[in-house]
Amino acid sequence: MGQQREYIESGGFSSYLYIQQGDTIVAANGVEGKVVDKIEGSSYDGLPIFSNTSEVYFKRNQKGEIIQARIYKDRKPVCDFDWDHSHTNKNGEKFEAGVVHVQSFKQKSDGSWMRVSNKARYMSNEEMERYGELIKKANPKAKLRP
Amino acid sequence: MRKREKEEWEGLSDTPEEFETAIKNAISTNEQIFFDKLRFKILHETAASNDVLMNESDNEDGIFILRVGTDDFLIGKNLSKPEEKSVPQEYAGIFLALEQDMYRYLSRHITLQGWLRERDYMGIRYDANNDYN
Repeated sequence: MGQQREYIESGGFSSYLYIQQGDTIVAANGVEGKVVDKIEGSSYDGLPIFSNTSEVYFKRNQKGEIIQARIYKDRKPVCDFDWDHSHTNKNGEKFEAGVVHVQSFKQKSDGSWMRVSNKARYMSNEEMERYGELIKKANPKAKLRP
Repeated sequence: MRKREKEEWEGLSDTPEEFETAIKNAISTNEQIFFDKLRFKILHETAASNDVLMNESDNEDGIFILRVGTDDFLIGKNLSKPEEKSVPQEYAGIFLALEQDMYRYLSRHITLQGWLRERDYMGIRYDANNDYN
């Protein structure tokens, strides 16, 4: 798992910037997520833009609570599920802390990636079905819907 | 605006017009630099693992400002001190973030932009994108 600079399209990374912590979390539907920390990181670090093989990486806060999940498909970022902070869209729509809000990634025409900022939303039914139990298992305090 | 330039702003909350106005009306050289550099970062330097614009250790109030992803901005206090931390607030776009009242963190009514102007942007970092460090 790592950033664009270390990413190798055919598999793996030139160097690994993150390390798994603890056991893989597995939901009853078989979806797995791994808690990862940046090697020599700080409290300001986020999750990597690319995954190694996993579909889900989790981020912890300083207390060790899981506070974010990033979803990947074919190692590429799909979206973030966040619940440790509030989020306000530019149109004033607000998502309270404690409830999962979702923000998607998209690939730009130059091949780089961006996170779409102007369309934060709640989890879709499909996302709830696939990832809901995994998130609750990772952090029972996370609310999937308001 | 050409098609390529327009495409660069798709999916973002901030607009090129807001940046042009902010740079034109900047009240100090450092404010002008702030908007100029931020515009470049938003368009060309995604921060999937956060861009630390202000580290809590770089100001006496313990405030941190992270650019998250592209143009989401997370504001909070004492992230590295869980016992003193307050719930961070994320805003879509720098211009929405700059309007926010910082009372919850500072116990006085001042916007984020007002607070940054008071210190003339001292402590802002332009080299702390975790994707590159």
